[in-house]
Amino acid sequence: MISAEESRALREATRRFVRASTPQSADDHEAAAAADRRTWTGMARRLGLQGVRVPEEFGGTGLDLEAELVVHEEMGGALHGGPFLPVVGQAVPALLTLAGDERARTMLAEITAGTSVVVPADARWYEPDAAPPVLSDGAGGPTISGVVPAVMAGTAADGWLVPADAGGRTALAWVPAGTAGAATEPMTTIDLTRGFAALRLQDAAAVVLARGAAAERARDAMETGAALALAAECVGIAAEALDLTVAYVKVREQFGQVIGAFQGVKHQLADLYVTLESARSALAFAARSVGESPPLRDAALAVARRRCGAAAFRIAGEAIHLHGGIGFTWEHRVHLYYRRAKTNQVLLDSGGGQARTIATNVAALYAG
Amino acid sequence: MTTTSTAGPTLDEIAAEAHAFLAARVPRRAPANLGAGPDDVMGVGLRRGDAELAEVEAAQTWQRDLFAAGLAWIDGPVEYGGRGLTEAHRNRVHAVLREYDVPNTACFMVGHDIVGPAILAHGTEEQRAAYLPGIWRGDIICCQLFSEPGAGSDLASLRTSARRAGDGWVVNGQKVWSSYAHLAQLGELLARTGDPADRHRGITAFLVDMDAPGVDVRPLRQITGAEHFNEVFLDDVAVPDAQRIGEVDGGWPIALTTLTSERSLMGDEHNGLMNDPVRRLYALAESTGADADPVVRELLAEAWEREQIVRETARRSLAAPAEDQSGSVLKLMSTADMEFYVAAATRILGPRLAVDHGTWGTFAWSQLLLGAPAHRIAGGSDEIQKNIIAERVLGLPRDPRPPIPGRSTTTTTQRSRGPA
Repeated sequence: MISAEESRALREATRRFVRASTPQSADDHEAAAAADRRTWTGMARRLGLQGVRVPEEFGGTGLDLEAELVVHEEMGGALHGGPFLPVVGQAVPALLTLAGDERARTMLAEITAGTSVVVPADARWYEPDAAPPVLSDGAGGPTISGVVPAVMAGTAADGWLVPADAGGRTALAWVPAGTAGAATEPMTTIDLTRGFAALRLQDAAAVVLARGAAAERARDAMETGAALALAAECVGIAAEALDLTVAYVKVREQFGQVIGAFQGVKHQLADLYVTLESARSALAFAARSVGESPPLRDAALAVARRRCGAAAFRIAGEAIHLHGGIGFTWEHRVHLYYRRAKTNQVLLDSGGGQARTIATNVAALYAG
Repeated sequence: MTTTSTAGPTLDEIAAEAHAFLAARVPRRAPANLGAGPDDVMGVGLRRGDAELAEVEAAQTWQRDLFAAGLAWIDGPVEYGGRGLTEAHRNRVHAVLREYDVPNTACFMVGHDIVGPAILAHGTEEQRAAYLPGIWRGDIICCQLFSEPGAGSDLASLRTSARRAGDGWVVNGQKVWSSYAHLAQLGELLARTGDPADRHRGITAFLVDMDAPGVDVRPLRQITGAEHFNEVFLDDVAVPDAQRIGEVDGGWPIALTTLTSERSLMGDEHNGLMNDPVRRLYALAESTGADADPVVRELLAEAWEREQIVRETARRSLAAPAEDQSGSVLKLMSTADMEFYVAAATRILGPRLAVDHGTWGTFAWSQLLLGAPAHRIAGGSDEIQKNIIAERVLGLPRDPRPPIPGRSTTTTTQRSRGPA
């Protein structure tokens, strides 16, 4: 476990870096995609953030989950749009489960060095019922076909880690960008700060990293990692949207006083602070429970998925409201929090699935 | 048990010690035996009459043994009967205590969590020595004498007076909402010693002997039907100056120490207010078949979620700086949780919440329905807690206060203009 002081230092270093390299308005975001690569390598060279969880033997800093979540919070607070979340939150935990494999170790080292953007493309993550791409073992080596409906940072990738169906067993395939038969198609999104793309695979040559139980483990790690990272981003989004709003109500005057002096506004902000604290607790609880028995671990993760997304969206929505008309303009960045918050929220919990996960697992806990 | 070792036990050692003490005396707390026996949802409040006296007697016997074993006041100074260990040790012992079916010691809550800390922080050497061991041994039950009919949320407007008379003071006035005053030997009193216009600057804190002539305690029946708080009339009550806590007119910071501990207490999930409510909700939904309803399943999910979040927040608050006002955050969370549990039970029970059909574990939820409103008021209302968060955490302007004569006034907006 990192100390409170180390945690603070990591948070501040991350904050300085990502805020300096993240555009502040919607227009800037649209123009910024080209700068992403420079930011990515700079982040690795100057701060080593991609290797926050990667063991020192592979060139990383080998910190713990708590430290990684601090970084994701700051990425969320800054609305960082690069591929950090899928690579560090999702791909790294999956590759760490395969660290006995030479290819996985090489990928971890390249991620840590900032030379490779390894992006998971898991059909299930975006659409729980989506059929995964199909892996076929032909004479010329394995190939993969199918569509992953939406991939976060899909176009920025140097390749995709694709959970696939290999004759009824799960396989984890690596498809480098540029492979014949692999194409991405950018999608229109409400989140203006982060790109999504559909990944279309048609008989694309693939490297199989794992099959069966090992592939399942890697995929579970991917899913858990993504959920925790998104939830942490939500905490950062919520905290930043609240900060912005508190600062605004301290200067905006109506009826001869700052609006933050009205109890109607003060109490609303106090409620939002309690909402933020509940999201922080939900995240801490889930992070602390990753090593617990499956019913407790899964229920705790579902708590974070529900609470953190809902808290970020509620606070971002109220942030717009408390900014008044200026909050509804394109140029003010508060809507960017609203857009990111809702996107993260639906990725974390849609269709009531997480409530079902909690109810089922808790009933099992009580019965056990 | 002696406490002479300066090295002191490790956390594991103190836990083992607590286990040894408890295992020899009481059974392990089994997961609530749902379906038979008492079905109380609220931690049962003290009742009047013989039942209450028996409960207090059992609590006092228990507390004496715990004290003798050095397990009552883990982080208190040795010279006043404490064990001299750390807060971490205390939390560990409390965690162990929760694993056992120990007697209900709610009658000591005010002494241990509110009056005791105020005496320790602000009392004289003599006061600490005279009261703290007794409070922790269970000999002295305490109450607060703070709120008045005319001074609720605006405590600084209180009017009960203490006037100098010879070497001591004479107190007159009326206090209200004093939990356990009918059992208490010692009351922590706030009384006006200065000009009422000076508001919080003219208040002094005293320790009042509840058996003194002129102290008249009358029970108040609550909406739950229980009588655990009281109104207290103070009619020419003589209080020696040695019973004053802190400086004359310096009672306000002492009241704040007390109020802060009360808030944390109200927000603490382990305060015994509720009896495993979430586990009971799951059992209720299962026994009635309501758990097949997706809406009920969602309510059950949120109930558990809320319980874990308030616990995690309590855990985080141990490491948080005081400026975080986590007591206020916890209190707001837990009062809202209580109302949520009522709403979930209502959805499952329907009319069986309102009319007792005699089925185990059904009508008992009306205890929570009737008890919940109190907790949004006690220990600082929701609105007061929100003001505390808005002003002290978020740095928003303070609410306007009445001007104090003879002092230059600073307006709220002038003080707060611009980003903090």
